[in-house]
Amino acid sequence: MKSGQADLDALVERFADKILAAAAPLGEPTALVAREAYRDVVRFLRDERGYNLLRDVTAVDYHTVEPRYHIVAHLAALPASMLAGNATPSPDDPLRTLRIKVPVPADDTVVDSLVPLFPTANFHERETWDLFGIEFAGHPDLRRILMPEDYEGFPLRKDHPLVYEEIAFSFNQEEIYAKKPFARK
Amino acid sequence: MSVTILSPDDILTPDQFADGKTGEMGFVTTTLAKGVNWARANSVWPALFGLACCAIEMMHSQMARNDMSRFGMELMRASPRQSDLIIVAGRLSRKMAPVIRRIYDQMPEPKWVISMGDCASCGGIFNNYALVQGVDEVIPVDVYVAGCPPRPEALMYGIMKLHEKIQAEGMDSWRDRKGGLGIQVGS
Repeated sequence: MKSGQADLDALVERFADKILAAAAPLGEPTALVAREAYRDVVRFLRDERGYNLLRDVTAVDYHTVEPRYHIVAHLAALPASMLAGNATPSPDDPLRTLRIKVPVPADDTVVDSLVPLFPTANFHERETWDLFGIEFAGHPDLRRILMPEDYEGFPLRKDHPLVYEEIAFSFNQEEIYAKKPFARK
Repeated sequence: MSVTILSPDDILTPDQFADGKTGEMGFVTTTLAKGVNWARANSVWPALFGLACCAIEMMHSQMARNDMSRFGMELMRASPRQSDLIIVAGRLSRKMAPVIRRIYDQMPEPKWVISMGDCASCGGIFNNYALVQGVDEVIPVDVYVAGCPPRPEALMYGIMKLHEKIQAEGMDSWRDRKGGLGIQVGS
């Protein structure tokens, strides 16, 4: 059911110079889209190719590679038979999936928001802001969603520390446990 | 029994009142303390604070096979104002930490805390940016129950240990624990 390949070809044909790469690794059609064409590409897919479900918007941090971040958006085209209530699509109108990746440089982490096109992107983009620090221009309410509001830092960046308490292995666990509050009793 | 006339600057704790100001009536205090602590231990009302998977095991120990109501604990109060005990069952995230502090502060004295499971006791297997490494960073804990999750029998054992702890205390041991005659609340 990975027949989003036809849509990928239509995308390359329509936005020729803005599609930086188009491939299907592991059978999953993926397009690398330039940042300025991101919203137009998604609008084209939604209006003319029938991609009516935005499944996810997230990001990846390639730490030492420029551009540092890639925004990853997964789109799906649910056929009319599924929208009517059938659980399995028919083979002549299949469920198509497509992935859009948008490179974002580390010094200018701003992308267009997909909220005007897909309202479900609201929470996904808030999560991406909370964990990566990538701002979405046009988002109505961009604030932290998972971490506390006064938290400093973006946890899923590769240069953010994972732990705030030292990891206890068997050789140092005695010293670490001696400093914890439960050791005072 | 002697009657003591209180003056406004005499603030007596119940222990002192039962003892008489000279401390002669010692046997009254100890019997009274035993009675009061027996009553407290046998009707501990827990507040609902199941956060994650340990909450399922807490529900198991509430249900028919391992029955918490034989300890008088079948009433799990949703309101902290009506409960004695808070069983912190599960992972406490950094976003939830001020909430549990507020709920703990809303409980009236005497109150106890059971930290159920590994995540509540020490952070468990999750040593990361999102979880508080042990709920005792935020509230004082009386009994730690280890396990991931602890079996209902293990939670029962922890509750029985708490009963022993309650019955071993004096009537006003919470004053000693917190210091002074009461907790000041306010700005």
